[in-house]
Amino acid sequence: MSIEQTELCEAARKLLADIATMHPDEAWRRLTAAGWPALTAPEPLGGLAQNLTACCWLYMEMGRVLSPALLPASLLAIATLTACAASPVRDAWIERIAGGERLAVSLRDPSQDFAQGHRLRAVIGADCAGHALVVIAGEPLVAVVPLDRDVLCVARPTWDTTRTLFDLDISNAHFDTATVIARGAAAEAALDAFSIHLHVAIAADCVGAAGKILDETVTHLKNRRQFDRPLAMFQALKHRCADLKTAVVAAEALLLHYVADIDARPCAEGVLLAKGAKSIASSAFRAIAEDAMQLHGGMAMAVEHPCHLYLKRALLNEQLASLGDECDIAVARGFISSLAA
Amino acid sequence: MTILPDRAELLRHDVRVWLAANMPTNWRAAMTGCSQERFVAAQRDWFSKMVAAGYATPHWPAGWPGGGQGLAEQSIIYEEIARADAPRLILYFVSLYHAASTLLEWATKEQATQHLSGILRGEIWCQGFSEPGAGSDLAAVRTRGERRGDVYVVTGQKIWSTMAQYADKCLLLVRTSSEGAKQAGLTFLIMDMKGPNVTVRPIRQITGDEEFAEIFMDGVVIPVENRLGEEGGGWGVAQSTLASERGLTLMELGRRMRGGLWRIASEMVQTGCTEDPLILRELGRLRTQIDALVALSDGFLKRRIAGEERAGDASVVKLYYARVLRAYTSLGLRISGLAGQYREDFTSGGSQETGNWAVDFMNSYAWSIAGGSDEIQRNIIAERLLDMPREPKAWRLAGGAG
Repeated sequence: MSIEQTELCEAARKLLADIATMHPDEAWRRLTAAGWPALTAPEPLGGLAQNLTACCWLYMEMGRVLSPALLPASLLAIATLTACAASPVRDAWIERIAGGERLAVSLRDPSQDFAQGHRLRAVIGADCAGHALVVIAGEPLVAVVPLDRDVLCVARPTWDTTRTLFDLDISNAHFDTATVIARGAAAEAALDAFSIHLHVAIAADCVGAAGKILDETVTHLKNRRQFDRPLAMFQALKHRCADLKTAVVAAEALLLHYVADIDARPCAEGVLLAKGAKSIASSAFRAIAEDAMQLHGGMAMAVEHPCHLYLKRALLNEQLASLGDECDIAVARGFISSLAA
Repeated sequence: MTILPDRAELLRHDVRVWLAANMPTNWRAAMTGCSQERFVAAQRDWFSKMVAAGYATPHWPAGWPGGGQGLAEQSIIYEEIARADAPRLILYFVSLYHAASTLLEWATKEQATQHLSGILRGEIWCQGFSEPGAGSDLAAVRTRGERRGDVYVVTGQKIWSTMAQYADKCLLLVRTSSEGAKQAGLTFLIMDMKGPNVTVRPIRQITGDEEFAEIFMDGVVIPVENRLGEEGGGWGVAQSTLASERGLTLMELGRRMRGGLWRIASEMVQTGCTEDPLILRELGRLRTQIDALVALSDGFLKRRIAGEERAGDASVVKLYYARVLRAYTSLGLRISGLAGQYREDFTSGGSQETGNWAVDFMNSYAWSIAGGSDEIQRNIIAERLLDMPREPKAWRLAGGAG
C-alpha cells in the first residue's frame, strides 16, 4: 500500500465508523463535507480531480462495513457526465453533484434492463434525490430527468437490507434539451465511462466486504473451541481459509492492476477490464460469504450475527452491474476478436 | 517502479528486434518428438545467446549481464519473450532462479562469483531436496552428511530432481545431525554432479518424458567450502530456494501463459465451438485469472524489491498459478475432444502450454505437487498469513500403537 492509499483508507475508515449510526441525511452531509462526492469531478467544477484508483480505495472501505452510503450514485453520475461533451447543463450538474446533491442512479449495466421496457432497475437514491441519471444503451442516451409525477417510482425491498433499491418507470419522462446531456455517437464514451465505473464500484465493494468477513471468520475459528482445541487448528478448515484468502488477494490485485491500467490510458477495452474484475471479485465474495456462514456454524443463522448481511450483500452484488457469467463471456469475445485484429 | 514510456518502448523494441534476429526458427517442430540429446544441445545454444544478450538474467542484480532491472523492465522482457514464443530455458530453470537466488542470499563473495559465473558459462544446476521419505515433510531428509575434517561425506538418495541427468551442480540438503528439531540438523551443500560416487537415474514420466531423475550418493566427498550458510542452518537456506521457485519464477510463467492463450482460442476455431457459451465463459474467466496471476506475481516482486515480502506471499502466487494452470490445460483438453486423447509427441522446451493438451494437463501436476504441494502452500498461507495455529506435533495411532 502506498502512503497515499494508507492515509486515505484510514481517514475513510474513521469517517465511516463515525457516520455508521447517523441518520442517512446527516451521514451524507458529513461525507459531503469530507469531499467524497467531489472526489473525481474536475477542479474547475469544484472537484478534487482524483482518479478511479482513489474511488476504488473508498469503495473497498465502504464494502468492509457494508455501508449504505450513496457515494456510488454520485461518482457514477460524475464519471458519466464528465465523459459527455461540455455544456452549461452538464457542467451545472457536475457542480451540483460534487457539492452534495444526490441523484438516483441504477446499479445495473444499461445493456441489461432497458430492452425490457422503459424501466430502470436496482436504482439507489430515489428516496432522497430530486433527479435521476438515465443511461440508455440502445439509443444511446445520457439524461438527467426530474423525479416528478411523470416518473413512476416503486420501492423494491431486498434481502440485502444494507441497500435500498427502487424501480423507475421512465416511459413518460421527457427527453428534451432540458434533460438530455448527450445522445447518439456523442454518448458512447459516456456509456463506457458509466459501465467501467459501475463494474469497478461493485468489484471494489466485493473485495472490501470479502476481506472483512474472511477476517471475521478466521478470528471466530481461532476463538471457538471444540474437541479441546481451537477450530482453526483443523487442517480441513485451514485449507478452506487459505483458498478463500488466495481468492480475495487475487481479486484485489487484479482490480487495482486493471484500475491503474484504466487510469493510465482510458479506452473502450476498459469496459472489459472492469467486467473481468467484477466477475472475479463478486464470485470471490460470494464464495467467502457462503463459507463464512458455514464456518460460523449455527450462530450464522441468527439475525443478530452480521454474517448474513455479508451473504445477502454478496448475493445482490452478483446481480448488480452485470452477472459474472456475462462478464466472462464478454471478456472471451473481446479476446477472440482481438486475435482476429 | 515506473520508467519513462520512451525508455520502456525502446527496451521493448530492442528485445523484439533481438528475438526476431536470434530466435531459432521452427524450433517447435524441431523440438517435437526429438531426442533428449538434441533438446539439450538446442537449450545450450539458446541459453548462451540469451545470456550474451542479457535476457536470461534480468532478475539478477546489477553488475551481471542484463541484471538490476526493475519490475517494469523485467515485465517488458518477459512479455516480449512470451510474445515471440521463444523456447523456455527449462534446462537452466534451477540455475537461473533457484541456484541464483540462493547464492545471492547466502553465498560468500567468492562462492557467489565462482558459481554465478559458472551458471553464465552454461553450468546446469539441479535441486536435491526431496527424498523417498521426505516429500511434503521436507525436514525429514535422511541423506547423511558426515563431517570429516574439511569435508562432508554424503550418503543417501534424492528424487524428483529436474534435469539432474544433465546437471553439473546440485543444491543439496543433507542431515548433519539428528539432535533436536528436525529442521535444526540440516545443512545446505553444493555438490559436483560429475564427481565420483554420484549416480543419476532418470525417471520415466506419465507423458513419456524423462524430465525428473533420482540421484544416488554413496560416500560423495564435498569440501566444507561448498557449504552455504552454517552447519545446521540448511533449513533457512532452503527457504530461499523455495521462495524463489514459488514467487519469482512466476513473473515469467504468468506472461508465458497469457502469451499462449491464443492456442485455446485457435482450438475453439478448429473444433467449431466459438459460440458455445459454456466454453466462452470459461475462456473469459481464464483470461481474467491469468491477468490476476500476473498482478499477483508483479505485486510479489514489487514487495520483494522493496524488502517488504511477507512469509506466505510467495505461496499465494504459487497456489494461484497451480490452480489456474490446471484450469487452463483442462479447458484445452476439453475443447480438443476425442482428438485430444490421441497420443502425440510432446514438444520439449515449450513451457507449460504447448497445445498438446493431454501432455500439458498431465504436466500441470508438476506445479501442484513440486516445490511444496498445493496442500503445503495452503498450510503456509493459513499459518503465516492468517496466523492460524499449527497442529500439535505429538501424534500416535489410536490405541497407542504408534
